[in-house]
Amino acid sequence: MTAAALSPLMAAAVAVPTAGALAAFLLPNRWRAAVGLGFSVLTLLATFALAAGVTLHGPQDLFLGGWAPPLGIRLHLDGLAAVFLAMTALVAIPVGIYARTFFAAGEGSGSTDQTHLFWPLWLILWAGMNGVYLSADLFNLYVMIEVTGISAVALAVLSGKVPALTAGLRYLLAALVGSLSYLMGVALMYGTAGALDLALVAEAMDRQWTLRVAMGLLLVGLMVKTALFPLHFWLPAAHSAALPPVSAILSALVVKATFYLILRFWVEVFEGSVTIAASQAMGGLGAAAILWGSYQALRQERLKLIVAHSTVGQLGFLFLLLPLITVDATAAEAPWLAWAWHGGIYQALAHAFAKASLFLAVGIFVIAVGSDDRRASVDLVGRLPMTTFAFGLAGMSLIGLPPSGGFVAKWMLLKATFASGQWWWAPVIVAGSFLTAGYVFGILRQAFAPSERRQPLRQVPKTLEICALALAVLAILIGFRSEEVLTLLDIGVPFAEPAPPEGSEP
Amino acid sequence: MNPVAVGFDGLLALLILFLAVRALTAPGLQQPVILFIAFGLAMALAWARMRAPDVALAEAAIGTGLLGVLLIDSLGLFTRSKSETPPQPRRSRAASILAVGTTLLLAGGLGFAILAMPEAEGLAAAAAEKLGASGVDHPVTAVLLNFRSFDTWLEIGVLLIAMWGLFCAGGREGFAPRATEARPGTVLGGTVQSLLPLVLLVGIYLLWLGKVDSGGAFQAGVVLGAAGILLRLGGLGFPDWLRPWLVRTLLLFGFAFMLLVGLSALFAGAAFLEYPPTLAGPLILAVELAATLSIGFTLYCFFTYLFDLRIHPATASSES
Repeated sequence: MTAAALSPLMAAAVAVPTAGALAAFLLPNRWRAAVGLGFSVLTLLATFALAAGVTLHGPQDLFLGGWAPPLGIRLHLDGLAAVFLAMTALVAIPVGIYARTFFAAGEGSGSTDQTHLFWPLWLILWAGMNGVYLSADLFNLYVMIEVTGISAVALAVLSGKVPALTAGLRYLLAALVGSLSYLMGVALMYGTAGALDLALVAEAMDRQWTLRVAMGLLLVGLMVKTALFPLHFWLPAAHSAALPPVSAILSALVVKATFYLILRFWVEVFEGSVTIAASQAMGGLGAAAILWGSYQALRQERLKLIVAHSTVGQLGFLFLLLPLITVDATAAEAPWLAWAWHGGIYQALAHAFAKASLFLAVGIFVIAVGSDDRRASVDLVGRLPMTTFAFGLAGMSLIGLPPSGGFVAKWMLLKATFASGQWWWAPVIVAGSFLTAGYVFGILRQAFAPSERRQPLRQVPKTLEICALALAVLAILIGFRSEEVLTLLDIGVPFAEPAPPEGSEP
Repeated sequence: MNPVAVGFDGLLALLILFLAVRALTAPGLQQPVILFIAFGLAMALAWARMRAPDVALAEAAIGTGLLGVLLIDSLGLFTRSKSETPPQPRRSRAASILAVGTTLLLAGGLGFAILAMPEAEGLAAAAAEKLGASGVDHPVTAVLLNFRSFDTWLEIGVLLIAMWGLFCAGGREGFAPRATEARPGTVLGGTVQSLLPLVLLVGIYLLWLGKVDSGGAFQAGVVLGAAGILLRLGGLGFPDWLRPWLVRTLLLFGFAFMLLVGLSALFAGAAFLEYPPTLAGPLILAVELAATLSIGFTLYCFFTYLFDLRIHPATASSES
């Protein structure tokens, strides 16, 4: 593959899923799943080709419409973008297959036919997320966030049921407030910097007051959408009331897209303008999210709420990355920068696979048992062995037990906290892992508990179980193949490390 | 500075604040909706005063006209439900204080940021320089449909996604079977008949105007949508020949057409959405025509979907 072939492929990462969404909507209901899956595979191929291309040829730029910045919009592909593109595609395929079987079995729809809108909405959501990963233009990113946010809200209310609608309305309002805040930040940045391209805005950044306010607005907007504590209030209800494949998408991917932007702005645009105090504050919110989210997950009685609150907690780990990479000039070459960077992004990857698997597994439990109550899911290990195993594997990664992806992430973060002298994050990481172990083992104990009065289970299609297991296996596998991922991640981004990191051997 | 202009701007600013506060504090749902429409009109005036006629047109057409119709349409759904009285929003004291505090903080911060803002060039000069190669003569249209057409393409998409979201929330994909309704009285029917040609003419004029002056697909689309809404109010629903597949095609036509234009550039070896300079003018006009059609139809469908929900409520959405 030549470097010139990468430009059309970058456009394809957005255009192909969009074309799929339109084709699916145009066709009669019975064709939609097949078309949707077909375009999903095409998008997967495009994103993998991009990952291969960036490895061979390094970072790439694409000027849309042939207009270079400052006038036009630039798409930018580097290792970080490639990793997130690949992560999204790898979650998308099993979730897509699961959704096809789930809806074909008549689950979650009742008498309504709007569930067939899953495919158009999911594909356009995917296109929006790919756009978020690739775009290097402040206003274009706003449009991408809107595409992502509105299709995510529509998916959350796909069932048309009252609890989903109530939670979805809250989700919509929170998402709109977030967008508005982001847009105000963009307006101020454009007014000050006179450009929208990220590289040009970064050049104009200094410790100027207008830009500080703009930065604050931008960050708060993205934090609402990432559901960082204490702005997470909309997440548990919206994620738990959605249908299982949708919950998996929302919790594993959609919140990561806005985190990705926070990270990219932090290191590429705000770099030099962010203070150590600001980074400690972000880390503090992350720590509070870990403790509060995990504690709330422990207290829930409904399976889907446990998994949804767990997302609030696990997202907190991502934000520990920011204080660890924000240092003064004396530590600019410190080795822990790369550990923290790798650890934080590994946490995003491991959580994406594990959380998607958990939501799919819980969806299977609910179909089989007929109830979302924690206490109803007893004695499942002998009757749903594959799904219980998937739940256990995914839970293992979530807790951070070796040799999972979650272990690699938490290990590297821990190493970075000690090496940097910011030891105060370490107890939070450990406490978060223990709390996570609490709610994961709480469910597993029930699943292993033999019961006298066990009710007959409803038959669950094998395909559903295989999809949940595949994602759980991915969450473990990336713990073994960390070097390949980290090599890709280091292309064209700061904090690259020439030698393979020590923390990658489990 | 002209004292009359300053006085007018000051009054306008006070009016906007007053309408905003009243819209938030007025009782019930009907009054706030009417006040919100008035607020939108005052905002449109403010945009016009700030010499942003494109924004003013969009605010008046979409933010006030169409949104007002949709809000009133939704109010009808509340009054039709069992209680006959619209639900009263609950207000707690703490929430009000928090909201007021946040608003003041935000307003202060924004005011400070804008006063501290250095004079920046912006991109107006860069856009004017390349205007000759854009295929149109109005810089705003050149930015929207050529320099940053990627944004505009996705924004047309957002409208389609919103329609899908409405289908999800309403519990039914597509539209109800033809409603049997009483024919409207002669006054309404006559008004619709005499207004319709005029409305269509204004829509086409706005679309054409976009090439040289403020106007374009979004504004023209809203006017076309308004024509459809008038027809619906006049008792004329979907005609029989508008089959479901045709409805779906019309909804996504503008978005899909622009995607095809973008992809054909890829196959010609150019960048996504790149126009050949000689074809830029005609291509932009074609894209705008397709977009106007879809935008108008989608906005009309928003209204019709809500309107039909009153007559044929979807059954599944009521069970929990």
